Amino acid sequence: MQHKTGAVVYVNDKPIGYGGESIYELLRSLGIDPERPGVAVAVNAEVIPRSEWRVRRLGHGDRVEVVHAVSGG
Amino acid sequence: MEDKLVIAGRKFSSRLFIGTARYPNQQVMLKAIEASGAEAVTVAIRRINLDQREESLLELLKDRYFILPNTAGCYTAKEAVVTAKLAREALGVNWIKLEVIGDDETLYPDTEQLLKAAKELVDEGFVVLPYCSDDPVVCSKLEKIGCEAVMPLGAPIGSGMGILNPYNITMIKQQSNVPVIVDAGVGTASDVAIAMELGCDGVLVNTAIAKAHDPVKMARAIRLAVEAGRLAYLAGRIPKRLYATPSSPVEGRVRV
Repeated sequence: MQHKTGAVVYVNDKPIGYGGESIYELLRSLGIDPERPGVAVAVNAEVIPRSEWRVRRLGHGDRVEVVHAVSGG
Repeated sequence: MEDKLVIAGRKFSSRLFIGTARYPNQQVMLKAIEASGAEAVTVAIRRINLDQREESLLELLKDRYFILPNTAGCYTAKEAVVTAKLAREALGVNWIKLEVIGDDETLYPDTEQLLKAAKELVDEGFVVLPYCSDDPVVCSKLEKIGCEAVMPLGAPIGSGMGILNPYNITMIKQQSNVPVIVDAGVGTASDVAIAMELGCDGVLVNTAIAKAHDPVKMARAIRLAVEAGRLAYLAGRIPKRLYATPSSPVEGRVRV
């Protein structure tokens, strides 16, 4: 899966080496269960629906936000 | 006649909305929410910590409560709109408690950005409940945009100072055709009763419960205050007057 492209994406600001995985695979490699409800993903400020996680690929330098619900007022 | 809060066609079993932040621990939070009788609880949307596993708040709440996500921490319309869309995707709910903050110290809403975000989100099909200043003009604009409720602050978030401008809240209530929920500023049960006596349709409370010495007890006190204030409003209070009016009959007094 890792293509050693030297590509980097930023997940919640953290640089991650990117080998062409789908969002689904990327989440799994980061220890986040992509099947877990309550998780949402945006790439470069565009929300990516869960239904596209298996097909959507990223580009070098993409900024990925992975969020969930926390306590709030 | 049934007296229920209805927002965007959805009926709520309680007029009290509860925030889920700042409790001593999750167990106290759950007990306090239960004691409050609230149906709707608010949550924030934040990045998942990649280095440390966290417990899922959603799992604890989702089967029991209506989860209302907020956009707390957003300072621009753009941030708020993206956060609302992330919340919709994460939670499967198109309701959003819209907050766009303008200043770190007062946490006052940035009205310019708030109106912009509200418009965009209404156009996107969201049920928008905006946290706003206690300004009748702003509330009227938010309603015209298509917000399903307005949520004016009673006092700055977390300040516990109560309803600082009851006259403004009264004006907002009188002019509004959507529910008015006082959001922020409540310090204790009497503040909630005041908001409800002014005719507000509901209140949102977080810090006053979470940071009380006994959050579970305070949750119950506030639940009762919501009920008491609502009943008093429906009952119709007497007008205030400067001078006394005797309650016992004036005629037939003993003369010696």
